Amino acid sequence: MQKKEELIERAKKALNKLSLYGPDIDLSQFRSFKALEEKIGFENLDEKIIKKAEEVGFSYDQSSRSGSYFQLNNSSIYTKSRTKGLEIYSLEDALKMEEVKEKLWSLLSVDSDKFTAFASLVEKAGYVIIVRKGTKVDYPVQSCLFMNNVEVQAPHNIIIAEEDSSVNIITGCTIMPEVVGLHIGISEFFIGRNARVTFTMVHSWNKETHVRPRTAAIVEEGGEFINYYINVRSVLTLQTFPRIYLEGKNARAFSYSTVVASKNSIVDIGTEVVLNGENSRGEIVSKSISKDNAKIVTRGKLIANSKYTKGHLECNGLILSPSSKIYAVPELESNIDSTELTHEAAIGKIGEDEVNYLMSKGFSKEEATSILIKGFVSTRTKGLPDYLQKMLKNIDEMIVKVL
Amino acid sequence: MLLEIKNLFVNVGEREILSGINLFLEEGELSFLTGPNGSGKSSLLNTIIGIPKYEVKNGSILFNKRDLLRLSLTERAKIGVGIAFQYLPKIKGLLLKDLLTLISQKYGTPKETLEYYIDFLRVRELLERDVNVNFSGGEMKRVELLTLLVQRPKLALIDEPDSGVDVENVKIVSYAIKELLSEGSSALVVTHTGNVIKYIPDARAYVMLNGKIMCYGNAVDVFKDISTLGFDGCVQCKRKKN
Repeated sequence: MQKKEELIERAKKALNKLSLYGPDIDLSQFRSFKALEEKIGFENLDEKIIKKAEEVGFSYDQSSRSGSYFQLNNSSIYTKSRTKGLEIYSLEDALKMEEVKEKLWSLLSVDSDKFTAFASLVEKAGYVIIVRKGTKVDYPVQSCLFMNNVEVQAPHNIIIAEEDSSVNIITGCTIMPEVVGLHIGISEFFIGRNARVTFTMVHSWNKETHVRPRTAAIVEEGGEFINYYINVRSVLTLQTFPRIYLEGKNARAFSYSTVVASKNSIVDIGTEVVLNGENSRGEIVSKSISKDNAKIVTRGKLIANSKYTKGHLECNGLILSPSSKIYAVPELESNIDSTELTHEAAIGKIGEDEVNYLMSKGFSKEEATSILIKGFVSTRTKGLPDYLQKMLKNIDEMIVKVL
Repeated sequence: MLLEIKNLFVNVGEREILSGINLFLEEGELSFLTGPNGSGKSSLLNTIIGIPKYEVKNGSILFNKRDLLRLSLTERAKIGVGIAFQYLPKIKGLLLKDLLTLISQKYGTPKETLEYYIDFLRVRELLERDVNVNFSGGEMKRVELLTLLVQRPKLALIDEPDSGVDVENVKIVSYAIKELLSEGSSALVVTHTGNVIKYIPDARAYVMLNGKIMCYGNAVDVFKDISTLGFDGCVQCKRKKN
């Protein structure tokens, strides 16, 4: 286990270390930030906050939810599990448990860049979800990380799915329109043998927010990690590059992301899947839409280190304005001979033939365009639970509306 | 007269592809359009529906006495011109069932009618799939005919419903064309092979060559001649010139 003092020391040294990807930002503007305890209770949340949280998939009345976590600014104001074998804690409470403490900063390093360093020094709140051995959680678990009137939020989340368990988690992160903010969410996932985690993260920021999520996951033998990331509204800058380590034999990972960028937004987003386990499988699919002067870099990397592995990478970009830019960087790396890694990338504007086709069926040009954008963003995988299918459909519609 | 095309000249870019077309279609009437590859059959349909790259240089197209050339693609569809294209774009992320529902809503077609035609054209198993993605030749033709039946246009432009499909599919699309006619539509059907004529023989056929209509006549007779003389025979043909 890493000593706290050591971590702080390392973090302090890394406070100026540039991130490998994405635009740099001057963190000194946030140095004087102090996290305060929120006085407001979950029951007394403002109508506006509830509405905004629901936009990113949070169900305030918790119908059809197995458990909930709500964080307002830098305080955990609600944790609730309604299912046996499902435990939900605030980070502070969970760190009293050795099993959680030893996992903190075990997949990510505090000194990997200035953002992890900064987050580790702030490190206020975040959730810890533990699904005990054999527990199949029926309804999804939801969490919301809400920035109401603070400029910094740096939660640390830990998700542990023990052997043979399964869970669906929906996390919504959002901010009030008028707030200027920095969000660094640290997330570490531990997916045990034959466990299955479906994690959907919906971000809805404003045009003044810098977002730097830092995520890593480890998947053991036969385990499966399905990760959806959807960024609904444009941000000022966003950079993230989750790493998924498929350690065990037959482990699987699917990572899907949808990102929208408009105005002067700069986005750098990708996923890396490391195929360390024999016969492990990874799939990365990304969809990006750029508008106005926005710039999007979309990355994907598959690394094969073990035999009989298989991976596929797909980058799709839709450019809606001549002055926006999408740059796709698909990378495949194999360190053994018996693997099969493939990739495809396609960037383009809305096809004229498609628009004409729909117009000939009676749709106006605007209707045709929005049907096509919606088609582009809609992420469909077989076997997706109904609630998620429905939720993603609503989100797809919102993306088209917001654009 | 439902459709009157007079002295129509059309360019794609610098190239002239239709050179003085005259063609008429009465309400409820069926006409075939045939001719060798590149003779301008599809271009004529695409010009009637209003695909922007087909630039009309001269001539007129009247539909129910309205000047079609002043209307956009969408407006033409709305006043009753429908098309079944030969080549279809794949639309990822749009389920066929969603497209059909949207079209039905647009044209006020009852749900039962849509359901009936889905079975009529045997596309039920395609409903949950993305529009035109990995559809076979026959499936695409059936889906296009289905959208026409849902639209119920006054004029149906149908581009090669019988090419690249098996006998069974030729039969199904022919019945769909018959159904359109019995619902009161007129149809202008491009056929290269003439396979559909067997099922719907009671029609006129126009023969096109190098962007011009060379002649027209009874569809069965025209195709009999073409099968013996080939399209080259058209040049010496004694049939009535257009």
